[in-house]
Amino acid sequence: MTGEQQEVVIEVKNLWKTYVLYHHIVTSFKEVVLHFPRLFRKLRQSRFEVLKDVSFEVKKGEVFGIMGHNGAGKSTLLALIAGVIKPDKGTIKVRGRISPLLELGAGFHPELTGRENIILNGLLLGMTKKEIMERFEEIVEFSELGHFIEEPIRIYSSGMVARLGFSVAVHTNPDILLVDEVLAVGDAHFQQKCLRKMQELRDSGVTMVFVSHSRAQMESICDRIMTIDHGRVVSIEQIRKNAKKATA
Amino acid sequence: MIGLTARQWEYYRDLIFELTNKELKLKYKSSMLGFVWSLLLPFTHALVYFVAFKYILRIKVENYALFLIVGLFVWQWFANSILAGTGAVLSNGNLIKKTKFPYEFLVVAVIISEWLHFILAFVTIFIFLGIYGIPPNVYWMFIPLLMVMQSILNLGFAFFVASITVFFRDMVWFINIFLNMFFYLTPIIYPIDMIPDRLRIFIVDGNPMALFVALYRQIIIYGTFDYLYLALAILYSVVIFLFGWWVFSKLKWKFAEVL
Repeated sequence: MTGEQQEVVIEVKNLWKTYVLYHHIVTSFKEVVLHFPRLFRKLRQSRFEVLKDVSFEVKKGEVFGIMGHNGAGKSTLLALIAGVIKPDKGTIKVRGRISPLLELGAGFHPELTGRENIILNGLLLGMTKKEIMERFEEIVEFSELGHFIEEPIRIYSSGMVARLGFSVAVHTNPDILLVDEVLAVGDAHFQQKCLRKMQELRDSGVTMVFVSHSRAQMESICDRIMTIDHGRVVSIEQIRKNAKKATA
Repeated sequence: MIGLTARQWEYYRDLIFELTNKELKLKYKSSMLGFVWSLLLPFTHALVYFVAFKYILRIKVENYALFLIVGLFVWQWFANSILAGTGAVLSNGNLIKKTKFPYEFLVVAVIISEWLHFILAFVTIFIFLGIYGIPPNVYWMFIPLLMVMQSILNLGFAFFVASITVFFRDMVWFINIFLNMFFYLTPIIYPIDMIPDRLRIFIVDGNPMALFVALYRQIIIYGTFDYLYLALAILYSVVIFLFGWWVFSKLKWKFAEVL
């Protein structure tokens, strides 16, 4: 491994995150008025520790997998890396621009057309309109949406939405790509295309963090896999020695 | 705002523009009359109040139709901004949960979109000025300042309701009651001089919307201008803006968790 590959781009140290389930606490005004004392009791019961003392590092160009069953804290971890939520304790250091590719068509508005959503999504991912328009044709071409790009997203099939989401996220020139179960959708042809594109990105030094509960899928693409259970790190396994030589 | 690079300026400008564009598109996405509804609502209100107050309660106000329209347009802009503000964060949950961007811009976009509606509605006031034969005067130069200050006031309220609604969905109901009460307690359908002196300090001097409505009327209908009103209106707007912004900044870190 070269020195460049050793550079740490994501550094997570002793991370703790507790959720307060607000909806469980205050559901309506009636409840506030009628059950005021119960509110305090609920406040204590509604705290839920999602992540407990999580530490790990991801190096530049690495494909890092986070595995765990539903509710293990995978998505919370991604949200913390993406910076949309703050940790209670511990630190997260991220170097470079992140492009989150979370869930199906996240960040798209169903009433806007594919074109409008590309622009809006690109902006939310931190690109200026000029930068988006420079890549616009490429994004549309990769998504294989053709004339559907002028139609509102709500008429798209789930596969079409996933294709567009993937296409925008990988064309934002990210340093770090966060991927949440996204390859589970789309037809075999598009999945292959996604894998090829990711290979290309990895070769150009893009770091990737995958989240999935499917071990088979993870093993085929990840260099290292971290398993979490009930918010704690169980293991971090080395799957592949050299990122550059690995094939998906 | 110092220290922003040219690229950041460009980015923020694009973000505001596209978010506002989205607001405007979604607002009328499937209605046939589209923007016309924004005009029709205050006009129908004006018509009802005109009949009720002019012919039934026999209110003695000169140019009462114009008086009503100026007041209702200014009020409607305020009320619409707050109502739209309640959904500014809530309806964009899927954007907030997934990406990190300055969430304040969602509220700003709503305020700009409502402001654009007001501008268009304002144009119709010219028609009435033509009908009444009232020429423009030198105080018209204050109108842009009034619009900026009221936008800041609207933004302050919108920041507040947008962030509170995320945690407390019932806020929307409170806002409706609040706006309804506030509407009748603000001299919109009746003139300031009908208010008893001892109440005037609360209903006018302590109420930014009363001041704004009065200032627009002074300029447009009467050709006068009260600098003390302007000073108070600016003071309230800035204070409410800072408070709303402060609440929003305190709560925005929890949005992604709660939505």
